[in-house]
Amino acid sequence: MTTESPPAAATVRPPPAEERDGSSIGRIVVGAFLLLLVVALVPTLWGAVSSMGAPQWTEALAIGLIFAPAAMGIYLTFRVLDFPDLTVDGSFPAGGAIAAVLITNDVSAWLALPAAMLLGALLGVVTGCLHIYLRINSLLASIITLTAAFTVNLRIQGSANISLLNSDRIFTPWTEPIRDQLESWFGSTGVQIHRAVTTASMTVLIVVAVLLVLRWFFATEVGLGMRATGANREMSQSQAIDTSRYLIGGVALSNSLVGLTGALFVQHAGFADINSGAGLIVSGLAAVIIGEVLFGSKARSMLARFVAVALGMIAYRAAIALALNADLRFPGTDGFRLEASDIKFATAAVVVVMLAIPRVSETRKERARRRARA
Amino acid sequence: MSATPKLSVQGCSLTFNAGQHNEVTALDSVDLDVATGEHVVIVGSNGAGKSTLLNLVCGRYLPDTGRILIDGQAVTNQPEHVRARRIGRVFQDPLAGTAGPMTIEENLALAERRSHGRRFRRIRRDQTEQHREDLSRLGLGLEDRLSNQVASLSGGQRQALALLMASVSKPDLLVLDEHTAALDPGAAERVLRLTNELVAEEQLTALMITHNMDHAVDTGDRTVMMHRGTVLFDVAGEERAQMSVTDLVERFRSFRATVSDRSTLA
Amino acid sequence: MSRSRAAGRRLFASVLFLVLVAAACGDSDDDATTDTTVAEATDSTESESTEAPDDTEAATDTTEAAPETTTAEGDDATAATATIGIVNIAPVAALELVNDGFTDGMGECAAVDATLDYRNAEGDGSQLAPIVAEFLDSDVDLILAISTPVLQATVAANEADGRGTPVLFGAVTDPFAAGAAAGPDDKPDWLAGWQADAPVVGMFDIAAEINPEATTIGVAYDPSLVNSVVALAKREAEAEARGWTVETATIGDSSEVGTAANSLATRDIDFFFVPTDSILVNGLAGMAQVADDFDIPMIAQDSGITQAGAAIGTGLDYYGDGRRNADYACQILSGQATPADFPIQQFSEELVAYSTTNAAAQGIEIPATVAEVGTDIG
Repeated sequence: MTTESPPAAATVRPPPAEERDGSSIGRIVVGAFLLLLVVALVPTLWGAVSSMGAPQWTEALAIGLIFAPAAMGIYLTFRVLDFPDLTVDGSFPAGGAIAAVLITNDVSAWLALPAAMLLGALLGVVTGCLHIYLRINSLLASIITLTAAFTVNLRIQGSANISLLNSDRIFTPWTEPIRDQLESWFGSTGVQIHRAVTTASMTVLIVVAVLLVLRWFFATEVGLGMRATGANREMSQSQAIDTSRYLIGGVALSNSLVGLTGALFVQHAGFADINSGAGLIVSGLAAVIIGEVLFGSKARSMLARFVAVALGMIAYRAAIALALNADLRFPGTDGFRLEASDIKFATAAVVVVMLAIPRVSETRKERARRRARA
Repeated sequence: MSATPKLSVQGCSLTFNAGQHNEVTALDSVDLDVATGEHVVIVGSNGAGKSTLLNLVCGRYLPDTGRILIDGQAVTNQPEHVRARRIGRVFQDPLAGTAGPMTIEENLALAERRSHGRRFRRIRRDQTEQHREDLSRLGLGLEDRLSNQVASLSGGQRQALALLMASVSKPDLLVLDEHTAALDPGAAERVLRLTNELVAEEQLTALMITHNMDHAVDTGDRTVMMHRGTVLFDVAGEERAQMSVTDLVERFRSFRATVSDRSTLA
Repeated sequence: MSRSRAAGRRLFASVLFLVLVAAACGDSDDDATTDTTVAEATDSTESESTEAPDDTEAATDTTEAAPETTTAEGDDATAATATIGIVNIAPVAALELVNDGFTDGMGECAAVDATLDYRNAEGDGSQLAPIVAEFLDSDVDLILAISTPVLQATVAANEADGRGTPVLFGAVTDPFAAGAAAGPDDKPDWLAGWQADAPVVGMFDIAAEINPEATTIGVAYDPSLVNSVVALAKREAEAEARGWTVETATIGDSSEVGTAANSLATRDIDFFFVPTDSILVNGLAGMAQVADDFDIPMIAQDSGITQAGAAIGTGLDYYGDGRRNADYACQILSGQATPADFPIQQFSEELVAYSTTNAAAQGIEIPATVAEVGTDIG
């Protein structure tokens, strides 16, 4: 190496700017792309927003709140535990199945919630054990559990589909009074939104309760240990944390939240279907990412992060409702309406892009670092 | 030896990939007693079995044969996380000993529970002053950054924090696995000085691996040289005090005529 | 790697347990099976394995061999024995009616003593190929494919198999669009069945009678189901002829039905038209709630769907579809005919059912014309 090379490198590349570029260039590119997209789509979006009635907004809110615990569970495995877990696609219908059976047998709609959480947790334990004790890769372990869960769920439900329309659900006692009240305020619109409003207002209480429990949990010694397990397993072992148990516990906690969502969903939708839940993991991830981008940076408290994820899920559902309402018109075609099936692709694409950004900027940083060293 | 040794490794052997073509005997019937308060420095060429020995002591590996005792109590087959209650450990990789996504304070709170077990109980909030005081001893200004993420610290800062965490609540054994090797010279010097201070002040029993021949004779009060899974020699006291780096290398040569280059050690 | 040996030993037990659980799960696939022996009280589980080889060979070679079997057993019974594999895609009322009709029909078929092996894929399309393969493997004498995806899977497997096991189908809207046949007579020699082409007009007429000012209908459907796409195209053609518009929303999963219904409801539709779409019907409760809140009546393409929340269901008589197929099966298995003898025909017998409760919730009264011909399910 000659003596000239360091100054030469320094003139080409001012170090402080380079330090920042990794993440900021990524952000600028993505930002510009999004801006372009927004500008191009503003008329369409405006059309969609204005055509979206109160019923759709409230429905999106209700569904978003229902899926918020699932999003928090997915955040817990993906971000806190660093354990990509697909079991959720099985624990969602599992929660729904056990809830539907308890409800149709007139046990208790409220009892259905903890029961669903328990079943979800059980599935999480199975995935965790497969991973820890049989050393099966986390994704494969969760796919195995999810496959087996299908049979379990079918056994629980007895049939692939159960209607709850004529059974007492947790929302049932409140539906009538809220309907009457809303009708007196808003007329027929009130009737149209009453179910979503009932669901949303009761689910928000449940979500707040879940948030409080999570806040408490992550402020305990065990909760801190769980975070450490996800952050650095080797170090956690040397800090006397039984990482196996903590990991299994964390996956169980995550899936219990998804089970809760399953139980809430069937009560809102009025039926339990064994085949629902496919792709929940991707929408949950999308919610996590949207929540992080829109509502929360990484440095804040665990509560703030979970709140951000919950809001992310609501925003995601609202975005879907909006997209379904958007009437895209490209020149030369006679209109093109986004369909639910297109949204799956869009969601997957968003998740890929969002997951790719940190990787890309990391690689850039790494390259910059190497250049700085050379 | 009159008192029970703090750590006693008795006839420990460990073979990797036994019975396969790539079989490696990492440790071959190693005996090592460490008295309370002793600061043992372990040196040896690559593959000598130094790290394997530490991993055996910490429970990451279990020996094929032999016993390990801490304070006379057998811990041979105790899982790592159980044994860790009595052992503070710092790794070579500065990222390995701390949790990057968590704050400095959270990392310290984590270490505080190492020897006491964890329960569904709120993390103590009244420790902030204590943390500030501990951190200020590092002299790195970390005491003012309690709520910063550890990921934002430099390698040297992280290693200093890891050292602090490992020595929290006076572990029976402090295990340092080449913990200065990955740091730049300045940071390495600082972390080593800190190590010596902590070990002296808290009267810790320490087991430290180093590749630095100067440290091998300057630091601590006993030098153990390993080679191919065995303890080659073990010097302490007056004999060690007289020893220079050159003497050490000479000793090594005389024991293993096959190894003739100081660079193998360095 | 010798990490935590003690824990490993402790957990060996749990591993064993898991393996056992896994084994149990493997078995339970078979539990979804229902073996029904019609007409004769033979032990169904035994009969499947023991009687197979000779008879099947005979029955596959339908024209000649089957009568021989009949005469051979002529001493105590004139019936030929046969195993029939029935495959259904999902536990949907209309589809199960085909099986009911078929089972009853075979029960009345004196010439054949049939063992029916009914499998339901529980909505999981990926289960179809293995089920059909298993049937072909065990040399069933005939396969009844209920619904379009099942027909497609069965035709593909049977073509590959090459032995020409007779295949019948029920509840298939358009076997031609599904690629199973090119025309009523232009089809594989081993294929026969009835085209269950639901008359679209009926639903429109009922809608027009309920609300003479109606101009817009909303349809939610799963675009991956050929059945639903074909039905939608017909509906759109009919709507155009009447000057109506069709608003659509696709679903990929029954959990999306509520959102889709909500989206349709806000587009000022006058009616929900419910096709026999298994995904939609599975989540129909979600649509029923929206129909209730928005006072939008649901008219279904099948009487069975009324149970799931529609106000009126008018559709083909799927039970009759099953019986007609049983008639074919009876003739084929007793050697009186081959599938090639039966060109694909349409059937149009309708069954109408209505629910006064659902109608009231959706803000309508059942028109007299419907009440006359239909049954009230409450």
